[in-house]
Amino acid sequence: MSWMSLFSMASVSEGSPVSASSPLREGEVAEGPCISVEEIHSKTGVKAWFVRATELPLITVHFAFRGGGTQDPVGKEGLGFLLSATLDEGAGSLEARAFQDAVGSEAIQLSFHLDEDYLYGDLKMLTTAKERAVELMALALQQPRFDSEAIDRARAQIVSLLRHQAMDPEEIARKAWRAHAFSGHPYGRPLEGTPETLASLTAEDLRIQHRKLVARDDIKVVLVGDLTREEAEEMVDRLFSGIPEKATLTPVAEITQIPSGSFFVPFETPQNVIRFGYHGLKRDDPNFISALVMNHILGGGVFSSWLYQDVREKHGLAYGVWTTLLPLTHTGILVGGAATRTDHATQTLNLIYENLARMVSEGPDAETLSRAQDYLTGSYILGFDSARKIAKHLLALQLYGLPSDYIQKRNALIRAVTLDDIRAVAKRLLKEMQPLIVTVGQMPKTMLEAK
Amino acid sequence: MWFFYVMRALLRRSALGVWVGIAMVCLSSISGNTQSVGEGVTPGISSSARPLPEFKINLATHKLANGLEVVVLPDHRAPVVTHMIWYKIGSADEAPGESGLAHFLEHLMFKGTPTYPGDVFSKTVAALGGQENAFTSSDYTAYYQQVPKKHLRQMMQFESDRMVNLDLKKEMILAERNVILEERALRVDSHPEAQLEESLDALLFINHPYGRPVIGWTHEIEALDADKAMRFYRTYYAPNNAILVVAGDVIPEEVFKMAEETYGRFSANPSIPTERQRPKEPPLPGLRKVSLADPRVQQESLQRVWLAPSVTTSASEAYALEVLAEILGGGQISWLYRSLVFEQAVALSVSAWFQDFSVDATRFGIYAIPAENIALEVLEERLEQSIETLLEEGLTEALLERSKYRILAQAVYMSDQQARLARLFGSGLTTGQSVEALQAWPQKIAQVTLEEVRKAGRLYLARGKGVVAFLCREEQCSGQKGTEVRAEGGSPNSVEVDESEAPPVVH
Repeated sequence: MSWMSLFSMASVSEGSPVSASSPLREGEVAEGPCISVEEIHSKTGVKAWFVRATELPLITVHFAFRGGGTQDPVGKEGLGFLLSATLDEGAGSLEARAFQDAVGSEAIQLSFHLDEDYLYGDLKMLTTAKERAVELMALALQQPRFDSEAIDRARAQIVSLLRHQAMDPEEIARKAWRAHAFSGHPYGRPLEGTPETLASLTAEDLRIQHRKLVARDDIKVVLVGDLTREEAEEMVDRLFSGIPEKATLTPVAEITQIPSGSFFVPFETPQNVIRFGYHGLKRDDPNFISALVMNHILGGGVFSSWLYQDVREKHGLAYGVWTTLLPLTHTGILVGGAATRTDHATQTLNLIYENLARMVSEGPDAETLSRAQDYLTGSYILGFDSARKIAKHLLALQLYGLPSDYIQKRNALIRAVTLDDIRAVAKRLLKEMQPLIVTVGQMPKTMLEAK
Repeated sequence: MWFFYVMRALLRRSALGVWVGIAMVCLSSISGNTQSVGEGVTPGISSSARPLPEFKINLATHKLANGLEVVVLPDHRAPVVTHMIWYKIGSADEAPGESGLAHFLEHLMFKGTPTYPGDVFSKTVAALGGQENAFTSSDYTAYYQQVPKKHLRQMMQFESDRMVNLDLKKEMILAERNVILEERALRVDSHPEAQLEESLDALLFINHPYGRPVIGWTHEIEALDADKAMRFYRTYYAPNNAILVVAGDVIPEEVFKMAEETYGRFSANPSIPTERQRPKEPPLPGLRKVSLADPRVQQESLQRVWLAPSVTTSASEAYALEVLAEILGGGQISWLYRSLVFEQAVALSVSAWFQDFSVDATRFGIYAIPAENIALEVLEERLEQSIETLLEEGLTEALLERSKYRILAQAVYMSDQQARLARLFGSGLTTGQSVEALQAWPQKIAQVTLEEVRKAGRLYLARGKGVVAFLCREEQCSGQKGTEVRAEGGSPNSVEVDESEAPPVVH
């Protein structure tokens, strides 16, 4: 840690509003974060959430367009991802270098990223640079250039990223699990594309995809920072008034189940990376909050979870073992993982099974439930201590279709979860279906014998 | 934009220094509470028309009678507090043959005391809705909790108890040691690029213990035990060897009072030396090269690393190098990105990093990914040329001003996350800086001159010095197979690298 490292702006996420590593799920408030969210309407009809924060001379704007990787045409996988990588590579009369000079010399942070469901834009600026920041972001949204040189560069960088991913056992496991879980569905296709599909993508493809996704009708916007409500409204207009009114999205099928099974991906590595998962819940499922609490007890809590206590503390088998509840737009998943020595893989998986079975057969006792509720309600406030976290959280609430006053109601929902609710949701998620398991590494002897 | 940061994040050490922690989940989510408005530090007047961004640090300090230094960073935006205790002890303070001991102890610190046995501490933090973690670097070891502010006192009670009353049972040791071996397998052995970094460090630091990995060598981790951990603990964990940093919605005087009542209960350990004496690096001529070919490698990469002064060993040179790192490799508008990615198209990405906070001489590095069909040697040569061109004719007042502006703007962005500010002070104070020096930093950056940047660059980023590391696919690697360590250039004396210092690299 140091001056230099503090400035690393590496806030690149997979794009999903809920991070797999955060013990804080969507929303949570303990003694209630005291922030005032104003819902604003710009002249051109774009709605946004605004939080005035004058303590620092900063403005953070997060927004999202519905329709991420699922909108890639078949055979053109990676198109949305390439779009997110080229939107800031030149716009209007500014070619890539000139555009980035303009952004960088004012220390503006302007970026796009994509996940399966959304295309996201992030804009962060010092208040002194707000005119320029808004002008450049509006230009990127309205008049991206898609110059061939920029496309080729971004394409080569994505291919390089794919190569990096192919070296990383965790990434291999993540991708393989998704490919099996969502086979035949857009979620099962590679978000970043493949070298082959990327090679075929053209500027025209990007223009079509840009026209398809970037529109005003279903945009979600959050502004946090040192500006007035009127300034915020004007900023929203300047950013989004020049883009088309309606997106033209391709309908995406719902996923109601995930196949079970066990798959092995051979990879020369000292550990076996295990990933297991089930069909989960969408965010609007009435049992979602119960599942959130159950997940915390099972594998969501950092030091407190059953899996952590058993696999790591008691048996010393893994550095990390976790589960997370991930709601997507067209389905939800409950997924978990661990990494352990090859000869411990079978034992680790057996312990994971035992804990999953225990959640179904016994469930937690009252004290465990109460402790989980204490944590989940008490820690909600920790997600509101910076403009960056507030903006991220408010955008996630909008993407989940939750109202801004959910922040005040959320802890009561956590408190209302009963032991019966936990048992019911455990039965629904963990009992009626078998898990889908992917292991990356070397085949354990026991598995070889079993074959 | 995206690729630069993705790739920099993929560089496992990157600019983050080298630290490893107790649990995987929270390491990146330490980002905390923000900010502070108050008596600010105004940077000096810039030569350009626009003023530099104003980075303000609001803080209060106090020293307990037992020597514990307390730093409070008030931020009243949310009723949250970050409580961190930093020990001036890290892996570079371990005895030879005991690598990984500082980190091993960090894990064992979660095993309880007579007053709070077992995992009572962690259970309490969780029940309060708090988050906690710990991390170890070569120079420091730190423990932190982030909790709703009303629980600060309780955290101080627990943490001060753990400073002196750790109670290790032999049976706890084995499972935890296995966890650390898994941690090492996860962080290092599963990633050829991380393995190569260990070799690179061992080559850069021939004599200084920074050449050893913080997590330790496998065979030395396997030999760690409770006695060694307790000896290390009793020798180095004491109030006079620690810094308490509290950031968040607090009033400094109340924090000082609570600190007196908790940490103040324990006496100083006068036998801890105030100077941290480690073997220094000799001026060793010759460029050192290491290449790792591994069948897992799909994407080749290059690292170029030099020994450089830290803010502690030579402040003014280090500030100049901070500016130079931003000029050379800060984002897509940087000199190297322009030159190697845009103009020459020999790289897909390039970034520079400087580990400026360090007790002893430190690392300045460049990480680059070659473009398709560009050999690493070609990229290396273009990189060296581009640096030379910058230092000979490329440095301008405009470039200097823009880089200072960006550095200070990034500091303002950082101040949105108070836990990062807390970490800044913790790491600064445990690596030999003073509160005053940390507060003066914006002015120091503003005062860096072109001549200082040029001089520091020429002196420390010279062609014939430091280490070049190639990560490549098996069949490539400069037409050679396997790992190879050789020295060249500079001097007729070849550099001999002891096997114990340069680890054999796993293929």
